[in-house]
Amino acid sequence: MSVRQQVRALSAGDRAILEAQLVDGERPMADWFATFAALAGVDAAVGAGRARTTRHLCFGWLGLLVGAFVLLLLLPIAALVLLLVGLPVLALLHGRARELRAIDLANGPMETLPPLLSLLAADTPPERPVTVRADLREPTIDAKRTGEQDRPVTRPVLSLKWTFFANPWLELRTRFADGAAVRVEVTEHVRRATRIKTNPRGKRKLKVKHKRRVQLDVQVAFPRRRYALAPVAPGTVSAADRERVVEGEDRIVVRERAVFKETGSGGAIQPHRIVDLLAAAYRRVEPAKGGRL
Amino acid sequence: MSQPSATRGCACKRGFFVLRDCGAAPTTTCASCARPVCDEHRADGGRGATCVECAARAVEEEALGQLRDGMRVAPDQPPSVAPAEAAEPLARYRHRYYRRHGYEPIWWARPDASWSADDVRWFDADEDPGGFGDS
Repeated sequence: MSVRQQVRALSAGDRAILEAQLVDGERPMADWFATFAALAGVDAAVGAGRARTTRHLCFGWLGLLVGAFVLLLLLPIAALVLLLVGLPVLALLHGRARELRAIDLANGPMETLPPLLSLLAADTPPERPVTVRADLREPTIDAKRTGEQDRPVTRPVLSLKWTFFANPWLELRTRFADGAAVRVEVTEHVRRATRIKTNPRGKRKLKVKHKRRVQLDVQVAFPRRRYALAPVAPGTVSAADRERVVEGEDRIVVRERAVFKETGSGGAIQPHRIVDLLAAAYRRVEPAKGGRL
Repeated sequence: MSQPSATRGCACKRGFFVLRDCGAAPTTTCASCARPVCDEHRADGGRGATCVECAARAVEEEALGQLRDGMRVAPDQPPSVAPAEAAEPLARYRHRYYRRHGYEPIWWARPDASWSADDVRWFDADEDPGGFGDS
């Protein structure tokens, strides 16, 4: 199925999400999963389509320029005909590439959300609405830029500029079957380093590198009517870098935060990192009464 | 395979961090643990009609054997399957996660002997914390 057919097969709501690349709403978990699974399918086709179009454009421009140059020497009228035919074709391909780029979703949310939703669905009653706010745009777009910094350099580096991006791409709220209110947030901070170098002959090179720092925040508010705070066993190793526990009158709020750094930007987050944080929150409580859900 | 008793619901457990009874109407009985099982929690893959929990345990034992033999096992990631079809892969992931990460789920279900080998946390008013002063 072509990309256009796949896009047309989406429901009106899913198509609106694909075009806006922003998600904000409340639905049952199974509906969210269906939406993100359908969007992930389209996104995979869009990614393949973009790669194909880029390849066609590269070969097209190369063929056109070389062909026109050769024909100009041998038969100038044929070169003119080639340009008249080739240029509109390339313009169409550029239009297609732009069209695909507009609906290409970021890989991070599309690869992370389906398994995460599938897992959280196990603890969420099927009919209960789940709030999802997700930003499916690429992390290094202008709208997410937070600042720039020129860094001091020494030769052979001529200039080094850092550009910073903040990308809070997920906020998910649900209430589990045991009454625990769960909030999951993912924020990605990207630093793009643009470096211009020169070699002894004066040739200049531009190098761009990305580094990202991903912050995962999980908050679980446990109802006091079911749970009590558990003592921490000495020597327990937690998946979280930071943990905060607040005991209220009717609930115990456990906040877990984990931060990891890696090169590149916009990649998927291993869902087990979020599972580990939720498990760390559940390790901080124990049942305070008997019974069944 | 035998017909289950109609008085009790499906004995498989729903949930990951917290376990609760499935409670759906059972349609069959697990060939391995003899518990009543609903259609959602029935695993038919190659081991006869067992429940997804017995199937998960069997698959994990097999994977553990392969790991001992130096073979690679499937990555430790939650399954990306629609919630309605996730019972079997989720039971497998759940079993693996509990074993590898030492996570003890909170038990909000009726007592179940088939989980006696697994560590779970439940409220026990008569539980004696023990200690050095006991003897």
